[in-house]
Amino acid sequence: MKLNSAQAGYGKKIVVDGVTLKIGKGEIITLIGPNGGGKSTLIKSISGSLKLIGGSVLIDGSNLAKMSVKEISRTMSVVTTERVKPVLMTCRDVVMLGRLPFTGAMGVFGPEDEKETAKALELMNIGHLADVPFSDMSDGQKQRTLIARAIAQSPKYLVMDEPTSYMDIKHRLELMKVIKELSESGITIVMSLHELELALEVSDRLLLVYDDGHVLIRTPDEVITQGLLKELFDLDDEMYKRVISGLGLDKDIQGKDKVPEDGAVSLNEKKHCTYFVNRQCEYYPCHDVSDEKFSCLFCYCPLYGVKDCGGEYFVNEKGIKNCKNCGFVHDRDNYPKVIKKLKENMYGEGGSR
Amino acid sequence: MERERKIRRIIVFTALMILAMLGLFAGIAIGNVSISFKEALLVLAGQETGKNAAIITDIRLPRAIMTFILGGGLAVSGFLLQTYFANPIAGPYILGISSGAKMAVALMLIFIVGSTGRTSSMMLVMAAFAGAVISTFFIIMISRAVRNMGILLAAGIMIGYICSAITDFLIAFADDSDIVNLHGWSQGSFSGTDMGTVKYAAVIVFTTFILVMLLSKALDAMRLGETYARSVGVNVKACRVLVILFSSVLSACVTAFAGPISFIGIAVPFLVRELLKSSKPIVLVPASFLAGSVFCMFSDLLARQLFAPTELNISAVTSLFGAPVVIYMMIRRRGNHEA
Repeated sequence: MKLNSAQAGYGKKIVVDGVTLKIGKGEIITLIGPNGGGKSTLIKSISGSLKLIGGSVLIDGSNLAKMSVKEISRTMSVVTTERVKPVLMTCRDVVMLGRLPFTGAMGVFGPEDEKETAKALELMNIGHLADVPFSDMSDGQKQRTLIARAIAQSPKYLVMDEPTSYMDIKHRLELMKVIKELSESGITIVMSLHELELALEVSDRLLLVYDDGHVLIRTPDEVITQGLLKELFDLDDEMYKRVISGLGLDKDIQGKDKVPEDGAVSLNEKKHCTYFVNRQCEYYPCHDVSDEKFSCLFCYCPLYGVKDCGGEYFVNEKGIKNCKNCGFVHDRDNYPKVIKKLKENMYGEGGSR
Repeated sequence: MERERKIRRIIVFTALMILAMLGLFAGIAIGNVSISFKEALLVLAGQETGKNAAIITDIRLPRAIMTFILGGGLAVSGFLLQTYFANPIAGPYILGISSGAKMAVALMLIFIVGSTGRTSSMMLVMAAFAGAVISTFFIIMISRAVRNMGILLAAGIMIGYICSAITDFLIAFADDSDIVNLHGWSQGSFSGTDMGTVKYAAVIVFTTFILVMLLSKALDAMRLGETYARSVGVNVKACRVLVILFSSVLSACVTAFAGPISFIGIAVPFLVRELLKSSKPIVLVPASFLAGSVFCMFSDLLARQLFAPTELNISAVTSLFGAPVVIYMMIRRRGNHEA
């Protein structure tokens, strides 16, 4: 896939300008940037649902704007942020609609379609929900169903707008695993993500979409070492520091000593802001630590097994409470360890990359 | 689930076929002049002639076939409109499309037929089609401006009132001879159908029906909304135009031959969806057609037998059974999601 100085926007208003990018087979490109910056607009243009204002998108050498919707449907599948409300369709029905491009004139599904659908359901871990009506599923399950639908379309290119929305941390990480598998099998993935930590981990390259409409293409390492996030999200020093330390990257940066003046991170100041304690949380206080150590910013606690956290705790109907000496406490310094633990739980010991 | 659905499908289709056969036969055998079932069968087999045979072949048979065809056409038309507006309460009658067709037919009957004295089925259908397309066009314009379904339906009802008002004006200033024609027709009735018009209606409705079936793959994809439909290779714009065209042809045809008939277009597709527990168009379209036929045939039977020899207009009967279904639908919709 190739983008030639593409200009995306609505009507005559250009939202994203001058995107030139060559995407290789099996590459994972993630769009990051502030809300309203034009990530979705660019995604829509790449998937062909929005006409480009200028420039072009080439798919396998042919211009996307000149391809028929049928041709596009056989090479590319999409997941949008649009909420769908189909009537009387089960999860399987929705996933199976991804097979329509491969059916005859009447759209009757064959055994091959059944097989691909079952595979996609299994891949997204919703096989057990196949017969549940779509309208009865939770938002996260719906999202996974729509992703399964896109996978069932056996695309060469998978274009997804915020695929992790409505999902909890476990399913997000699972999705990242699936995305990696898909890219290894040769599917090219273009998506937008809100979660920086996931974007940095899974992507081959990041497409930074700025508020003013210009873009930068960088590898995840470059994004961190060049301190690009600060400007991208218009953060002040304090906020940037917190983001970086939340990503568990501050030590890396110190070690590499590549931090530019602007947006430099100093570990000496360790002020903590109680802003990050959410006392309204129904699980609060899950840990017995002082407020200045507490960080709800990266809380996924109730969602993973903490039986072997090494702490002392008691359990009520809201889960674990007041855990003392917890190994996976919600301390911002502890976040990388929490993620590691989560991955161990998911992929088994040593399964983390 | 899949198995259960297949079984449902078989049961529902078998039941509908049996009911349709029953309806057709009842329409032929039951009437003001009592003709025994045996005799009716003999006439159908072509083994008997005479007065009773004439009643059956010239009056009852065309009427029975016509109700079968137009009832089905109306249900499919409603189904298409519901797909277009993504709203289960849409239908040709409630959106004012039938009334638009009725107004156009009234205009034609009074001004063209009144002055030239000639009329043909083709002219009727063309006029009704023009009227249907014009009201549909208005409805689509309104639906562009407002996204709220309640307002859209209210607008449809208003369009219906405007068209009816104009029709009434026309009637007030028309000659007595025209009014006689117009009045019976504008109430909706299948009486006075002959084999010639049946042939017309059959050709139009069955051709459109086949075209709709060919569109079912695209309609299938549309169930997840336009973006996803496009992503599986559906030309959304063309599909929408065709949907509106076909539904206008069907409702125009019904209105031209039988007058505006209420509620079949809304209630039948809904009931069929619930019965089949599926929203797959390739199953729903034929099922809606059959169910619409059945509903229409039995309504017609009631309309003419309930207070025989006085004939009720068929909308009175279809409203009586259809409106409660629609009310139930709306209540359930509110209960389930934010409407």
